[in-house]
Amino acid sequence: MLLRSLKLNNFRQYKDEQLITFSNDKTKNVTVILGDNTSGKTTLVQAFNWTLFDSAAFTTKDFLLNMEVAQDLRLNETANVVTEICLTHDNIDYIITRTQVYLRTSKEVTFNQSRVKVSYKQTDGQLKEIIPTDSTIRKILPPELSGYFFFDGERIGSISSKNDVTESVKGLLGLSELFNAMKHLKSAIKLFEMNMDIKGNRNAELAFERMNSEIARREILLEKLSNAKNEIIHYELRKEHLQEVLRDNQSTKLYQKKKEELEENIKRETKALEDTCKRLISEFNTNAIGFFSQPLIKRASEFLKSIDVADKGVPNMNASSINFLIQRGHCICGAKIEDGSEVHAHLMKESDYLPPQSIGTSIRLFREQMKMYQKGSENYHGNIERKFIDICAYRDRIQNWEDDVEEISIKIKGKDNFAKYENELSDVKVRLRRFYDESESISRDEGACANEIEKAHKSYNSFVSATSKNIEIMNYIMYAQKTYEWINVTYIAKEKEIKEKLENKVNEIFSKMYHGNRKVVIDDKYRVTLLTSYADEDIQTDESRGLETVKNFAFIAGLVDLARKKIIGNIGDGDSIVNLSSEPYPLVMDAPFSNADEKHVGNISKILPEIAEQVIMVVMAKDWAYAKNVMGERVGKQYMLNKESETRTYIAEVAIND
Amino acid sequence: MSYDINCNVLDEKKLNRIKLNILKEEKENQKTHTLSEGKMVDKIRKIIEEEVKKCY
Repeated sequence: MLLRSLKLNNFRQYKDEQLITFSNDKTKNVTVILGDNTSGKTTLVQAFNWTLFDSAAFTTKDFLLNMEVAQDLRLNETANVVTEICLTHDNIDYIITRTQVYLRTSKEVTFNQSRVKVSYKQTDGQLKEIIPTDSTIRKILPPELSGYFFFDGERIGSISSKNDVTESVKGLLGLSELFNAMKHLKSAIKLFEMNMDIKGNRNAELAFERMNSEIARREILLEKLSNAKNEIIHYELRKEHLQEVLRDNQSTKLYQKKKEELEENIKRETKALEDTCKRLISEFNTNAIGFFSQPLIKRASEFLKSIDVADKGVPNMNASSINFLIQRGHCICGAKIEDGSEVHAHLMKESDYLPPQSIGTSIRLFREQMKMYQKGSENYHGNIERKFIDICAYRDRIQNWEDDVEEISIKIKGKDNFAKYENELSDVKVRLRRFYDESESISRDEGACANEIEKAHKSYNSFVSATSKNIEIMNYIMYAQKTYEWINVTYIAKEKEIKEKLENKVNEIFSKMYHGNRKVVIDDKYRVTLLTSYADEDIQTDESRGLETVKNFAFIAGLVDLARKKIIGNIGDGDSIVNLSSEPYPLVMDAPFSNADEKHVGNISKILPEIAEQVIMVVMAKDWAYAKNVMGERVGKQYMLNKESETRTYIAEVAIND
Repeated sequence: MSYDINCNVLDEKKLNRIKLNILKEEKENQKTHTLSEGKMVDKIRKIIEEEVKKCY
């Protein structure tokens, strides 16, 4: 399917009839439609969905008539919303027109169910209407696949993680035909068997019933087995992934342990440093005066040696003691002390030798003090020096350990939460054991069931009469079975081949679009994940929205590319082949680059026109500025959405270089 | 499941025509969805029966 044109008439903000023709030039296969926010870009893309499938993702989707036209309607007057797509499919030109009639009633503007008309151009150029319309449109583009060709910027964010992606991809790549054929052949075989003539033959009837009941049971068991095996595959992959992460985390674990030891050392050493600093300060405060006054003490001592200051005073007695005795009035010997008495005179004389008046006593005390200072400062320097050396050593060690901790922290940054991986791994192992047990048990039951079927079948064959009718039916069954077996083998081989081709193609495209080192992996359900190389292993990491956009573009481009190629089933004649899918498709995108950066916009823009037969982009001018540099030469048509008001936008073709 | 088909001989040409016709029919119905599941089964039965009965 390739799009030729889109005509809109009173479709939302597109008032009156407006037309866009799309480029169909193979070398200039890009049509660009530029528009600002709210100019009608999304409406334009949704017009395709509405025309083809009567569905459009608008908040007010039920009311599509242009608001100005609706307001101008007079009572009982009608207006039509009409959209028309011209396209080519399978070398036939089609025109698909959808119309919805709106009527002004006394209360409001009402509308009826839309009608679609499909016509095709005959060889003589005349148009001929096709009925039924829905099946014809489905033939051109199945609705379930339309999401891959008409999409907006938001939708592309989730396109490769959709749950229904398997069926869509199979449909797109031509596997659904094979799958459905197998399903229908199975039912046909069952119907043939039911037509065998066993009436009145009780033994054959019983054998047939037993065979069918065992077949039904076996189908249930096989489905359960398949589910269990899928779970096993899923959890084995998860286990492998977790083990890889944890293997890598073994070194992280060692680093973490080392870091904790170092942090403990730092803590201990810091405490020791603080204690030593306190002791140094205490030591300094206690003996500093004595130590620093040593030169003065030495000089004072030498001076005192050179003078004679006899100490005549009573040791450990001072003048205050004499004054006390005089005031008391009697001496310690009992003699009375009176002013002017001989005792009084003796005591007064004695007080002259006692401190504070006695220089001799003061010097004696001073000498004792000097001795004390000298004794206290003997080890002072050594003690201070030792403590200072210790402090320097502590500080050096702490600094070294802090450097080591910082280095380790950089190495294990973002990888240190491995406890959750260990917990998940334990959980995964428990689940795996359960599924293995379940699988084993189902396999045993299934084997027993298969034996029962075989026995019942043999029994049935032995009882069935070899009538001409039965021989004929057996003949049909034989051909049906052979066909089923061939399709089954083909289906398995094709699915494997397609998945591999798709993965290779998506990786090839992704590597051109993404300027980093990641690879794409597609699982059995066609879900896409990105792996990045980390410590020589590929692991899954978080994806930014921009990266997700690039991934999904690569996925869609890969699908489109593969859909264009023929998926061929060789039926064995050598000449006859079945072409399951070979149609080119357009890519119609609304704001496709919303989440991508400048570099990726450029990369994506380069690849898309090479992959898709036709690219139609509705994009903001600012995003187009990045894409234009690489895609500009592929542009065959360019339009501008001119928004005149909230209810009116006009489409204008502009020169490609503008 | 396999049948005792000693009395029947498989014709490769017929088998290939059955394969081709069934897949053509499935391909067509995949696009148009005009036939229901039951009708498709009937269609396939008919393809097999008609092809087996043909004499070349």
